[in-house]
Amino acid sequence: MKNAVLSAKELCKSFAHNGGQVHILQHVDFDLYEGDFTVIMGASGSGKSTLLYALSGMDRATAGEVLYNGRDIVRLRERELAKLRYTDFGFIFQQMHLVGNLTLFENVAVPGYLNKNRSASDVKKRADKLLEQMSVSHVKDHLPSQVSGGEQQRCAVARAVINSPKILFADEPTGALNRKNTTDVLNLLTELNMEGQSVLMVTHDMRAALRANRILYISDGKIIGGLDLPPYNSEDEKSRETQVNAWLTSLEW
Amino acid sequence: MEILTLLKANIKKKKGTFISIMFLMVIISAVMASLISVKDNYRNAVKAALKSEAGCDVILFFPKYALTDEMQSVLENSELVGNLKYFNFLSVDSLKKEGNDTYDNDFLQTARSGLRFYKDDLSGLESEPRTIQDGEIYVSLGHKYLYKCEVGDKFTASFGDRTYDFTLKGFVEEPIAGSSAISGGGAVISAGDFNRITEECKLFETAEKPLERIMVCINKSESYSGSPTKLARSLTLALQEKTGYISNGVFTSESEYKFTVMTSDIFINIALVFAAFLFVIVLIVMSHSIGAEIETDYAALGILKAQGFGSGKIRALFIWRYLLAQSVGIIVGCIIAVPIERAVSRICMQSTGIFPNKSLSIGKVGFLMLIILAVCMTLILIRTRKVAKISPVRAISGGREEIYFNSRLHAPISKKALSASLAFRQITSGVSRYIGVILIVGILTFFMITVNLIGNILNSKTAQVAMGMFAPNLLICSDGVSEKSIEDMEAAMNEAERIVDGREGVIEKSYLIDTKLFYEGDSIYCRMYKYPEQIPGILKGRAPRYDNEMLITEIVAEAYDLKIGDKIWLTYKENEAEFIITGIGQSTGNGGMVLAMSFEGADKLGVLHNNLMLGYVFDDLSELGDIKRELDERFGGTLQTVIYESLDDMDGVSYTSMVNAIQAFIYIFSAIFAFVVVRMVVSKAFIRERTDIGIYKAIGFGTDRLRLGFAVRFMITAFIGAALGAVLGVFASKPVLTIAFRMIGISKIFCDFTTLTIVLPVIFMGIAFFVFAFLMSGRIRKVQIRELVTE
Repeated sequence: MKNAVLSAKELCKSFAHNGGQVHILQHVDFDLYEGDFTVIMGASGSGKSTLLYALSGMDRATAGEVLYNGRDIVRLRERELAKLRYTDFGFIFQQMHLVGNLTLFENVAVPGYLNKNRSASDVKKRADKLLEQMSVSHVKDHLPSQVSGGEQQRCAVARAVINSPKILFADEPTGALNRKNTTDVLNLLTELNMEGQSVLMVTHDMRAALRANRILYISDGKIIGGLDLPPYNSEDEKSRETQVNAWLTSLEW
Repeated sequence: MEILTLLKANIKKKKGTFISIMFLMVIISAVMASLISVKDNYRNAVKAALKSEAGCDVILFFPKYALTDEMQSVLENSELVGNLKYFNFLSVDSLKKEGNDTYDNDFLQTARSGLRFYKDDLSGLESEPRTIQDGEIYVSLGHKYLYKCEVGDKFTASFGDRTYDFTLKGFVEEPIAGSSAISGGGAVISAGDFNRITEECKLFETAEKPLERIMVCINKSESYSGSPTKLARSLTLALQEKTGYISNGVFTSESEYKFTVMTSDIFINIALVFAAFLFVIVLIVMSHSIGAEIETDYAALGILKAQGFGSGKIRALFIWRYLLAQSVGIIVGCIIAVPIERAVSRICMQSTGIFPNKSLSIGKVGFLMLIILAVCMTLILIRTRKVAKISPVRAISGGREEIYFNSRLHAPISKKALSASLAFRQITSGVSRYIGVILIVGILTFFMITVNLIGNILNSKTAQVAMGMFAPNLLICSDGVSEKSIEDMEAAMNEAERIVDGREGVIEKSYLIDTKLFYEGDSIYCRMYKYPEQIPGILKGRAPRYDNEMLITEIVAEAYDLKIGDKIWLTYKENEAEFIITGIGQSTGNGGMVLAMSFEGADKLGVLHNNLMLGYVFDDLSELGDIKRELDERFGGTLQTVIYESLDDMDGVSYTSMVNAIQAFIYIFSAIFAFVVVRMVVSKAFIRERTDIGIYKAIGFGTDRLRLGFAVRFMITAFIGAALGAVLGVFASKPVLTIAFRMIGISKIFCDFTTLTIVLPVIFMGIAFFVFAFLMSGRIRKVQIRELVTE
């Protein structure tokens, strides 16, 4: 029996548009289990990123609740949400979004500095270790504009996990990367997951989806299907791909 | 047509910038238009008064007995003289206002032809002269403010043992001596009273103490092209040469003009220079705003180019938008300037004593505003040159990317001071964006320090003494009504000196005689000291030690090309003597045109010791009342003792309130400018850094912490600018003030900066920028992290 670390109930998100309302998420129920690598897939405009942002507290849902540690994060105050972002949640964007005037090391360390429970030297040590792990320690004193997109995204992964978050959210983290960098980043995420990190990733990249042990499919703001897989193993990638492809085809992807 | 459409859209989209520029121009144009108009109106009013029937180019004063037919003939037959008029006046021992010991006027006249009267409500001048009844007295408007005179006040004139009471009935425009800077005054009484005093007091008159005097009002001939000062010099030299007698005193329309507008001009000039620097600030703000707009609108401008808009049209769009904002600001500012001009005129009337026109000087103001617009247009043309470099291809492919470079100024990001170190990083990553702010704060801080320094001078007796200002707290002088002999009076003064010297807390003492001497036909004020080694304000050389030595001010040295070691001949009545210049100093008396010598020098010229003054400067004023009581008890009737707690009491002009007003003016406008500058810079920074704000929020920064970071960033910028301004203030405030204070005779400022003089403006700017940036950064709250989503 798996423990749910994050649960969404009747989650809705609407936007005002041209004088009317556009319903992006419609009564979504969802559980994220501890230690899982969960991927949300869906066509463009299906609401997958919106769901990720609502679940991670980066955006507020219009209705429903997102329960984390028994608290509804939809109703948390801005200050509490901010704390949640640097203690329990980590986030990776498609476009890396590193701060341009901070070095890679500083980009990783700054969220660590926000955490009052960690000393500056602890944060520095961990930042160094993560950058080493992500294979970007040789460019740690460079500004983002001075390194490649892959190096930036690996740095963004390190930043997301600096505070050892309970959940790592990733919004199409390989969307802006070439094939090699995509593989590197996916390997990093897989390694982290194997070390026990819960990961929730949005993607429409099949290769990325194969890393998950659970895939959810969203269409028109509703989760319409799910597929459970065994933990990722590079050796059985081919058979996973066939299985996932068949499942996605059945959902008219 | 398409430009008009784009112009409307741009104004709507960038209404914050439009309103800010407009608002700054409202301030600049309101201040400049009102002050220039006040200055212009006073200049015209004083000139008109001097040219009126009651005014003239040169006035020579004589005791009536001394003005012989021969002297009159010399003046009347001079080809330099167009016309002249003789007016009698009475020099009484004293004319005192009831309840005011400091009232200083001993000059009674009748309503001479052309003298104009103010309406009772002081709303303007009467069209017809008033008929003055016996017992009534009129004083100049300058005296009204100088001595706080109100209609109904009682006055007593004394000569010998006779006293005459008057009631103040109203105020006159006195072009000759009406300003509060010229305390001579000239009260006007009825012809009946004038004749009665003349008749009854004749018996007290002596050669040393003449009652009846004559002023000869002279206008130059049409053929004479020299200045009134040169005319006065030529006439006095002619009198000296042909009759051996010069005159008791000389006034010229130039000196009258100078002294009438002197005080108001100093403060108006300081405010105008401040306004000019505010305009420089507007240019910096505009320059920053245009640069930031091109940067943030890079893609939009490229798209416009791709659609066929040339660089010329795009630049025209910038020009029209900014000039429109400025023009609207100028129009509104000029409308606001009307009541400001009236208010400032009212304040200046206290010192000028002249009632000016209350309207804007349309021609001058209009010309100035055109220059302002031309300068702005030039700046816009220069700053929009880079529009030509925008490529549609680059714009369409995403515009200009934000690229940061390494900087040597980078300091490490620290956990303990996270907000501050991130704020500092923002500054060092884009120093050029903050240079404008730094310069603006520097200028504002410099002005605040300079105005604080003026306050220090007003509050520091030591500084006043060092600058040669005669501003005693305790002044003992011979009582004009005394029947005592000059020897008795001097003996009493010496005894008073001994008593006060025994008191503690004396910073400075001056024991002197004030009189006027002639040099090359010019009447120059001379202070003769009993203790010449105590002469204040010596800048070069030494004090005179012997009877043939003298000191001159730097202003006299420059006016007559004199230097230490030169020998000059001075004249007093019929006596002449040669003196050697031993030193150069400064003095605020008579606009800095002052000579100084010892009592021995005075004796050499035959100057009597009948106008003795003994002034003391104390560091503690608490015992002055006791000292005055003691002196009054012992020497009442022989000596008169007056206490001056401040310069305001001394000169009647409220310097303190003027300095307070100008301090408030500079601090308030600095705060307003800081607010507008922060508003503009923060909004541009906000547009530029919107993504970074989203990122910071995503990694756990709360809105408050981000706002704090913004505020700290601007506070650091303000402190850097303020430090620059403080350095500038330390080195440049004194030279700048010297230029302004030269009008009152100060050629070198002696005043120390206190910690507060410098620290107060620095802290003020830091706090103002911190608070305003924190307030302006409220919109950080609205930045959503989902804006970072790339669909």
